[in-house]
Amino acid sequence: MISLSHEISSDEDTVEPRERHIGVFLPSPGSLFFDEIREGAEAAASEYNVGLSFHSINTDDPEFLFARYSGIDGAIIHPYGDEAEMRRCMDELEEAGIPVVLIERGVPSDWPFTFVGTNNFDMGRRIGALVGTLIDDPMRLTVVYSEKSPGVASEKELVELGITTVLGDRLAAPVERRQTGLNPLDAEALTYQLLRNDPDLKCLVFTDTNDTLAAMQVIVDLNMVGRVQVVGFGLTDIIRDYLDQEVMAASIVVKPQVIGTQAVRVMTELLRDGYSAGYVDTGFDIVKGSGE
Amino acid sequence: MKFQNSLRTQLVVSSIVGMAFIIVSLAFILFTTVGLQGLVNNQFRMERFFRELQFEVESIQDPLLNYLSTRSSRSLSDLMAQEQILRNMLPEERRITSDQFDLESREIYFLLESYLDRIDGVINLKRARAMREYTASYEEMSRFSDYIVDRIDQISLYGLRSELANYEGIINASRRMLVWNLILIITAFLVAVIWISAAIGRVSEPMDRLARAAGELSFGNFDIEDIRVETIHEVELVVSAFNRMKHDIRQYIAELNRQKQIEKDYMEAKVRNLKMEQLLKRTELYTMQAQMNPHFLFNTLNTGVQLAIMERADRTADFMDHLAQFYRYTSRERDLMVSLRHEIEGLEAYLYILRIRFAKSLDFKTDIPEMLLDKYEVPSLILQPLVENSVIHAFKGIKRKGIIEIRVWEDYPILFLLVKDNGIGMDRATAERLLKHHSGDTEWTSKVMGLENVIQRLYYCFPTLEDVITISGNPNEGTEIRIRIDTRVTACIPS
Repeated sequence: MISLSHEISSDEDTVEPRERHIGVFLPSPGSLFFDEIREGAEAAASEYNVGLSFHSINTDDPEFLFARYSGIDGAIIHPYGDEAEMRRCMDELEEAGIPVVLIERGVPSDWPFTFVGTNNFDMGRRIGALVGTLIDDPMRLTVVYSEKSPGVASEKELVELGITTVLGDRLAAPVERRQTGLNPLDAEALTYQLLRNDPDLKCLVFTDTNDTLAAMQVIVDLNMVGRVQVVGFGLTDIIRDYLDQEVMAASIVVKPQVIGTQAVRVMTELLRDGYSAGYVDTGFDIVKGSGE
Repeated sequence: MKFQNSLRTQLVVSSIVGMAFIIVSLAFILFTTVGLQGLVNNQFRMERFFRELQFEVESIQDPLLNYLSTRSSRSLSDLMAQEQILRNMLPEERRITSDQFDLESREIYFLLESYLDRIDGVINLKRARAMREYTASYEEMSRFSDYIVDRIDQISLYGLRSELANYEGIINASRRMLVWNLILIITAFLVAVIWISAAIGRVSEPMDRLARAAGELSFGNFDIEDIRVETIHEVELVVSAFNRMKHDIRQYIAELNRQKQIEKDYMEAKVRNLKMEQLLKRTELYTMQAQMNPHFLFNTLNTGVQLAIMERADRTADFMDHLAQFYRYTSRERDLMVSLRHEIEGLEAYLYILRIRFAKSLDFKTDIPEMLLDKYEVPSLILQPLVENSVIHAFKGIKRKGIIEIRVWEDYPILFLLVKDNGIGMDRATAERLLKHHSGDTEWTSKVMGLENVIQRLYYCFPTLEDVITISGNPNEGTEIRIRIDTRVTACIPS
């Protein structure tokens, strides 16, 4: 009987009481990036004795609009959508005594929201330095942003500023900016279009894992390996294979799990102490093939 | 203690224990079944609750609109009642856990509570006739209500999916529970059977031992050990009675045997006495027949002795005197036991005659210590017949001079009397025939004479001495007759 009830109510038995209730608001799931943020946050929740409820975020979504009524003790938010409306909701949360921690994307506000995420300017600088070693002058560089990685996309200016800071006059033209949607296959059509319309394109930089995979498939199909240098994003097994086979030049690997973990840690400190570090840089890596 | 060990108590306890095993197992099955139902019920309880909650949330919008539209006290009353229903449904405890379901539920409760608080605000705006504000609030509250309803839908769906995921676990657990119940029933049955068998064994085993012991008794074996039983009081009583009965019967039979032995000994002694008397009478008759008219013979012998003296024939006088002594000894002796001296004196008279009679053919040697003559008694007339037997039978057909040796010696506690000759000897068959014990043959005893008479009398006088007389020798090597009397044994003399 004991084993019987244990088996049926095993979920209940594994439930642990927690001290705080934190709402985590992330853009719609389907992205590896956000999935890993969630994994990192969940891993930290047990350590910091907090319960996490995950919600989608959109300024049109009542889940975020009515967040202040939901009884949460704190909100970890990856801003997404209309910035003004976003800021208004976050202000309401703060006014309701619910501290807010932003991850990956900052929002200008009168409130000093704590930020946890990647330093996108620094990322731009590292990308610029890398591209400088991959292609010859005069350089032309295209960076593909994605709604699937809104953190980078929302701070594209910082990324490009970093690239420009490093490459400077070596750039024959300003960094070309492209954007994909939430569809994981968007990058395939975009890459095909870019390669057909611009035969002189030498380097592509992607800021989303799905886009990287889709684009690499096109480059391989068009037999453009080596002619077009690709700086990808993320580190899946397939991307690692591309890197090892030198099909891809390098990949930008941010640390979403660390972002999730650090966000929970910072929020716990805010709730417990009333203050925390205002900015936490979770870092990133640029990974190349094992041969290098 | 007796009550605890009584047969009735044992049977009642055994039955109760056996039944208890079954009842416990059935109770366990009932408990697990009810528990399983409870678990399943708990799994869906929250879903039912959220469905009711959702219904009440949807139901409050109409009273709110009615009140804002009409401002009637009736609609306000309906609104307040509905609001109270919803507030009562909200749980006080909204725990924070690691479980997503718990956190989602908690959020819904807080959202609903905020919604109800805002209804109070809208009512106040209506009372204050702040038309624009309560109109805007109504719109927002409609969205708020729709959102809460959607959240309840989501959590219900989430819970339902979770329970569906658990459904297979419930089925598996139920199957496992049935298997365990079956095992439990079988185990309980086996335990009950073992327990009852043990109880029956405690009752039947001593009875079985009792039956086997009774069987032994029926075959006359009363030496079996007592049965020891310490189980059932009633059986203990039966076994105790059985043991007592066995002891009583054994004692009774021993007493009977003892009395029977006494009677047997008595009868044997009586028979022996009768035979002894017969032998003595026969001996006496033999003697009387041999001496013809003793008185006439004595007188005649005495006259002959006087005549021989007057004629100065001293040797003749001596001969006749010894002849008279011998006949006097044989005819007058009536005692069964006589001193060794007396027996030897009679023998010496007889030997004197024989020495005169067989002076050339026989030589008699005696070795009889003087110190033994008055020390022991022997049955009367036991040596003379032996010497006579040798004189008559030992030297038939022999030319050489015969020697008859008579010896008496002591090897305490045995007194030895020996008559030995160097005659023709005696074959083994004859010796065995002579030494045969004829205690039950009354017809035979009436006929025995001489050596056989002596042998049989010795057997009667000393029934416990097996080799009281022995005959040894081989053909042409002489015969030795040896009498062994244990001086510690009293002769068995008939009264």
